Amino acid sequence: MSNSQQDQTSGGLTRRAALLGAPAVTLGAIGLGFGLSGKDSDTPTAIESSGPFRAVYLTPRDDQTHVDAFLMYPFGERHNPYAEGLAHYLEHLAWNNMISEGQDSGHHSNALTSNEATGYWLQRAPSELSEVILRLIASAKPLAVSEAYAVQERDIVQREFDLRVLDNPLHEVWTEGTKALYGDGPYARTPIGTKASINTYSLDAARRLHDETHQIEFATLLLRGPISERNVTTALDQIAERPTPRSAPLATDLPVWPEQPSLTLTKHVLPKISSEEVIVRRSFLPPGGFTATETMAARNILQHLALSTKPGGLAKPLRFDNFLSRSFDFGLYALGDAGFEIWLTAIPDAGVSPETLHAGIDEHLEAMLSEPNPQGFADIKDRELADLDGILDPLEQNDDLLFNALLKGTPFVPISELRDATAHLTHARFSEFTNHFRQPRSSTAQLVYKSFPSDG
Amino acid sequence: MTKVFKSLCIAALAMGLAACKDDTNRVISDHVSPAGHPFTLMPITERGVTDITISAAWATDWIVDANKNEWVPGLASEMMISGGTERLSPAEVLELLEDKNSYGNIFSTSDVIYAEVEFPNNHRNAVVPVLAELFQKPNLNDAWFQRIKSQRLDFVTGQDKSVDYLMWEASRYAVFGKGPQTEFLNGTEVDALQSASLDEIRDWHAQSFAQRPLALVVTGAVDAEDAGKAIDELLPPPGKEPIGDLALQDMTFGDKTIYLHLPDAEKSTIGFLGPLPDTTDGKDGVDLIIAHLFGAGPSSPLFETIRAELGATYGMFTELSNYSRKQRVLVVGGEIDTSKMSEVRDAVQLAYKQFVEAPDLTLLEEISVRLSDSIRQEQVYVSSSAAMIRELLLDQRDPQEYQGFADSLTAIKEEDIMDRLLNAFPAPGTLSVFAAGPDPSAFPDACVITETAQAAQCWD
Repeated sequence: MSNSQQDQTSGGLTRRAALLGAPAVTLGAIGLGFGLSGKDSDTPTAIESSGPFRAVYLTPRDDQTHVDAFLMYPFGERHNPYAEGLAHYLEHLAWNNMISEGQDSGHHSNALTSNEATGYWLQRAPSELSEVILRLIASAKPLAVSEAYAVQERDIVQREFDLRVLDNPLHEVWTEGTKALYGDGPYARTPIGTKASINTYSLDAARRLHDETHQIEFATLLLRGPISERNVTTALDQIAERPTPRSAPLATDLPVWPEQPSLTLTKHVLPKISSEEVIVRRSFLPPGGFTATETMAARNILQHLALSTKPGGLAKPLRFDNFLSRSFDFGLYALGDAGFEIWLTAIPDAGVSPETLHAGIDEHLEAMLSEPNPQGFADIKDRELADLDGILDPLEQNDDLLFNALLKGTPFVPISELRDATAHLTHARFSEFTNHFRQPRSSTAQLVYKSFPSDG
Repeated sequence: MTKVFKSLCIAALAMGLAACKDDTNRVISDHVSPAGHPFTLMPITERGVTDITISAAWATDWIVDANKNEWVPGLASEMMISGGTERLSPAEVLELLEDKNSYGNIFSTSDVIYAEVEFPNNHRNAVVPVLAELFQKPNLNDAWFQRIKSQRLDFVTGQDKSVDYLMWEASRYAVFGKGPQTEFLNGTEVDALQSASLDEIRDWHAQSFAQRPLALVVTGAVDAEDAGKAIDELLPPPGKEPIGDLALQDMTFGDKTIYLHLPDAEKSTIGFLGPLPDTTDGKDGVDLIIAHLFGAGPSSPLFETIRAELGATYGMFTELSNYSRKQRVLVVGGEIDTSKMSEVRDAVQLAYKQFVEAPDLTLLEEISVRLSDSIRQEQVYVSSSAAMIRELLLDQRDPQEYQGFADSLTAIKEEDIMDRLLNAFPAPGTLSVFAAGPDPSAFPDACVITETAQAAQCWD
């Protein structure tokens, strides 16, 4: 079940863009999080002279014949103060700027919008590097589309909404849960929008948002392919002009969502669903005193412990020993640098009511977080270290991690640093980390039935 | 490997230098295990590669027999890997495999059963005996069996299947009519599911693996001797000859549009199907490029026609698929604006006709280079390499083709494309059309149905 991550990213997919969940960030955090040395051969190289961009990174690859170029603006749906989903609609229109710039019709191009960022992708031959960069820059020029095109594209976005949302019978339940957790603020928004909000999109509104978000000096350029640092520097030097800002940028500091720590429990009846379900979600501020790297190491261990059959994990008590849940999923999702959400979805086994399963989830989640099992922790930590040591291509992995970090508005933690932090994480420190997740800022549980439960 | 070479390798590794390969790296060769299993081996001795993949495929005729329960292959495959062993509970098996960074997978298609295991060489002794027990003596625990059955029953009886899912279900009734293969592919028969028993699972297991595999491939950090030993531990002794060609149901492609009317549907979908030759002729690389030329990306005729000109969809796809190894199809489909269904049908048929008759091949080189890159990058992986070699063997092609597969794509010329389009792809105007949605008058000339199984009569 991946409801928690649905709708977080809208737009087509690239090889790297099978990405989920992209929370908000402040520009300050980006500056802090992306201090790459630029000389480690296993991480993307930070180009010293970044031209008009905030930053430029290069991942040299000899195993591909083309160049992948991604331009990422650090503004996504959470920054959008207008109709829900407008950032995604804008991405469709600005993509047209990019493909209209050259002679061909935009093959091997794509774009995506997450909660935290908007990105544009092109793939071309290395000899076309300069043109590729100019095309990406065109995404910041005034929107060139006609009113008629904008109206047609709004219909296309509606089709995209139909494609991504309408077949999910739990979409509305999930959206309700999101509102219960985050109120009506930025963290309750989704890039795909709503059927009603899509109908309100206009070219004027898109232009306004475009002016406030698509500014080259805030954008990060990621390049990957058979090119050198020198090729990149030369191409950047050739940029003669850049679009000038037409408006002040939007604020990047987002208000924290309201505090409502007591549980909101709701029951839903959906007669047509295949399986009943329990959805538990809790939001948290970041754990104090943990660095980004240590947080990522602890978070990975907690996620894997929860899903594992190790002592202290959730799989044995929920799925194997007691047959409470025939399947479940668990995630610890970063809300940019503003906090985290724990989500757990579970399908009851035959003969188990959603209430019984919910009680079991509460009991075992509390046990895992309050006193994480030392053996379970040690085993999962070993497994994590073995996995990190087994990475065959750390450069490729770091390239993906950097891309993900930009998309999700989270700090970039290279594999080597993550390995180091994982190796040094003690059980006591891990326990401190997990205990933080016993104090939610807001909390919701949703029990989904096929028919009305006996207690009404 | 000589001592000197080995020392140089160790020195190179210590200094973090380039990969240290020997002359067996990625050499494909045929062997026979001590117990008599013929297998194809491709060692990968590159730096950092520690995994071994064993991939096998067996012929199956289970679904040809109308008296056999069509649910059994799927249920049995899942039971084999879920039920634990005599000594280890299901949870303990899972924990062991995860701790050792290993996995096993079994799945069954209309005519072939596939099994694949992967484990790091240094965990071979801990993992292979457990995988062998799962494979040879699965613990057919009734509680797990009931759980798996109830999960499937919920899906079959649930009312939340997507419009797209139901349309393609109807398409299979139309293409095959009613029969055991249709029931296997569609999985709609509730009574059969409820009546499936552990005895049938045991029968399927005994019958399926009593014969020699059609293909048995080992790749990764292993030599021929260890590969042979691992195979003998994992698999039962070589059995009888594989069963021959199956008499699967015939495919029919009618020219009457089939419309599945779903009054409560909130959206509409459309699909096009046409037959393709199987992959034994080795032309599947050409087909892949053709599919990309027609339907991938904003400059493709499909995108231009349906999205850019008609504004009728977020996106449509073109893909190559198959119901069995011999039953292969071209598939085009996507979500469509309900009010534009009929226009889309005509526009796709016209775009396909123009493409087949005079394709724009401007992007041929670019697409073939990109696909070639993708294949080369995929071949880095031990498991992907095993799967590619296995597929060549199943097509009775030379496994050495693996070595040149990426390059062969960039050698494809315009005349190869034209030849394939004219002689292998469905002729223009012959693609069968399926659609589903809330508007029964979307096509005045369609066979309108309200249940997917009714599609079986539309082309009578």
